[in-house]
Amino acid sequence: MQPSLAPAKKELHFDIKWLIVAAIVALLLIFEVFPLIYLVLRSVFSTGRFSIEAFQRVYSYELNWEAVRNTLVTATLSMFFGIMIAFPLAWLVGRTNLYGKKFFRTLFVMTYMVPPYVGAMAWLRLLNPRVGTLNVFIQKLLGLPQPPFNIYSIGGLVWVLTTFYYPYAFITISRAMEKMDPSLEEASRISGASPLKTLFTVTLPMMTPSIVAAALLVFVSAASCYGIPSIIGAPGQIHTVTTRIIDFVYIGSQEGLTDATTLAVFLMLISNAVLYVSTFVLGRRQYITVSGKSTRPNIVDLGRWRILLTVLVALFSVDEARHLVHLHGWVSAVGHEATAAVLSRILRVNVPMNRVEYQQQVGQLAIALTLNQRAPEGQVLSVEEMLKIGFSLLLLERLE
Amino acid sequence: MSIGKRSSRLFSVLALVALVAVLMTAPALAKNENVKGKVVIYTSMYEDIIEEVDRIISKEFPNLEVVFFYGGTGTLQAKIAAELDTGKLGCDMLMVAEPSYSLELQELGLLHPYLTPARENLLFEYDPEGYWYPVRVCNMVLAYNPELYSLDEIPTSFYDFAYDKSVEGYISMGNPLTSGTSMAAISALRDKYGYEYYEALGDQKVMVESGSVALTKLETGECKVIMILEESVLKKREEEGSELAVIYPDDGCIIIPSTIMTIAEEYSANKNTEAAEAITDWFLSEAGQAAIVKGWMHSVLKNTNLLPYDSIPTTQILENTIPVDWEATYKEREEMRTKFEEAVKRAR
Repeated sequence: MQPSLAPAKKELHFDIKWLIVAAIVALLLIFEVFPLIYLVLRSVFSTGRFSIEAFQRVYSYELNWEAVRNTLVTATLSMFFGIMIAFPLAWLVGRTNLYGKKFFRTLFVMTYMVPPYVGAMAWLRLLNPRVGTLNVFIQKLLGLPQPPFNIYSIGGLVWVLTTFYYPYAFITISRAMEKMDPSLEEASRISGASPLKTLFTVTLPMMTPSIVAAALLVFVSAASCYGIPSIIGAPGQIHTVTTRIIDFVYIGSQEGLTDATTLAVFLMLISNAVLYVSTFVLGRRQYITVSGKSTRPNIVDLGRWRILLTVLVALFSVDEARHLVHLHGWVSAVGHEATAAVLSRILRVNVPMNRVEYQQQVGQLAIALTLNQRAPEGQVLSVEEMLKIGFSLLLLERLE
Repeated sequence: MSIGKRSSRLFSVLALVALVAVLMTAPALAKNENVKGKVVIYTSMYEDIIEEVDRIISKEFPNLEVVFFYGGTGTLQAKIAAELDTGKLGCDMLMVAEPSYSLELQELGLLHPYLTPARENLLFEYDPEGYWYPVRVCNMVLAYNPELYSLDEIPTSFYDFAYDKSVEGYISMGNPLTSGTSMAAISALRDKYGYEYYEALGDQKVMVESGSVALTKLETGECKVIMILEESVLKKREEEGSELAVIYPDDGCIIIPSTIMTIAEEYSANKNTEAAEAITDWFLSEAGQAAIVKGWMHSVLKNTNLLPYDSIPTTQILENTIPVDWEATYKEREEMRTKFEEAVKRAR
């Protein structure tokens, strides 16, 4: 029998992965792309035909230009300071033998869990120029004629935005730092470079992609934030694009909605421009290390600086705890007098002893004090004994 | 007449009285039971008041499903503006904002006219064609903290609020761009004192922010006196035992009625105009107003003893007011907003 020379009939196979890809693309189009397209279309077709009248109206008003400038300035400065705070903290927590690393890692992302609106109210109480708790304390401490800080300023706005959004950078950078291949750092140390020189010549350049990603995240978050500028900026007549957008929306008219979408287009363009620039800058160099072994973080011995840096970081984190208790609403469930006294001393608020049964609700935060070692059975510790044993502060949140 | 015959006659009379009583009440019960279907109401009343009202209305109208959608005035106005793009609203009734907004919606042809019998008993102005009625009354007043300052240290009139230099930088008020009641207030104050009043507020370095933030600043002492709605202070006094106190200004309160409106059938969500009219009647009745005053707002009725917690009688407030020209507030809104913004910004 002669073999057949006709080509074999191809069987069609349907790969399910393309269905999943199509579904994901469809979701992205519906929930991400179409709303953005609508935003742009509404701003130029508000009257039913193409018109840039809305842009002329919005961007010819000086107050709106001021809002645009304030947004760019505050977002850029928050990004810069956020990275300046997050990178060294991430390095200390991820790559050194700092005491209490796990505890600090949790504490540094505390503000991440708090709504910006609520946090802004807390800073308002601490640093308002007339009766701010912290302001008055510093004024009395240093014998100043008036409180030194005014939270209702560009500086105040940048400070609050930075404290709220640096955890975004911290999370991004610290994880990348822990996953980084340590072989180049080891090579640098073997060649005689000090830890600091290795940090600036090897670690920092290798971390550039994650630092840029973190910076982008902080910039976009700060630029699109509404709660903080509405509380901190409004009393000082400092407007941002987000507060102006809400002002226009709340006018409640068609023209107000059109003006709001016209301003929102600016935010969209800025975010895309920043993303493009960062991709372009990163695309010019390669940041890949190829090796055959799995990565393990290289722990830097802080040596004689270990205790001092732990104290400094602890002061920074205790500040975070103090900030937390100045938020609206807390109760004491501390059933031990010495513990209440120690907490009062650390947090600088009067924590009363209150022996009650306490059940943490879902989403509630609790600050707990744990001793570094178990106390002898039946012994009620004094403040001095507690300080001698040592303790840690824990932040607990009930998830479900 | 024998005792038996007397008892029998008495029983007949009592039965007749009972029958008449049943016949008199039956039509009312039948009327509310006949109100059926669904009605969606957009409202800016406090949520706990909505819950209370919802509970009562469910009993009054057992066969009617009433859905309340809560939002701040600005949020609801933006929602309505967005829904208008689609040509239909998601509600059948509105209980939000003040008469200037009602005039705007009326001009757009969105409202249904209804002449409620309850209009004869209203203490405040309403639309003569029945497009809107006042359903609750807010008063713009001043407030201070007696625990930190005594009354003679504080301005007690709207005029001194803007011109008394002893409180420069220590005053706060709502944002006319986002708050309809603040818009009404600056409209009334412009009519009384001119646009110079806005310049004076700017020179006073007034802080423009939400009422809740202003109340916090009053408690901490960061502000000495604020311009705020009476209901916000009364709410805080009742719920939190706060000592913050209302000042009914010497130059008059600014009375701001919030209105109830029915959406025209072609635009409404459920096209249940009959039910909407019945609900309007109920809200303007003594029972409806009793629920309203629990929300720390004044009743709109004449000859009533209903009063919000810790307030003074409505008739007493009415003796000294700064009136609001609602038509001017609607038509000159942009001019007032712009001048206010520029005056407050210029002084910084």
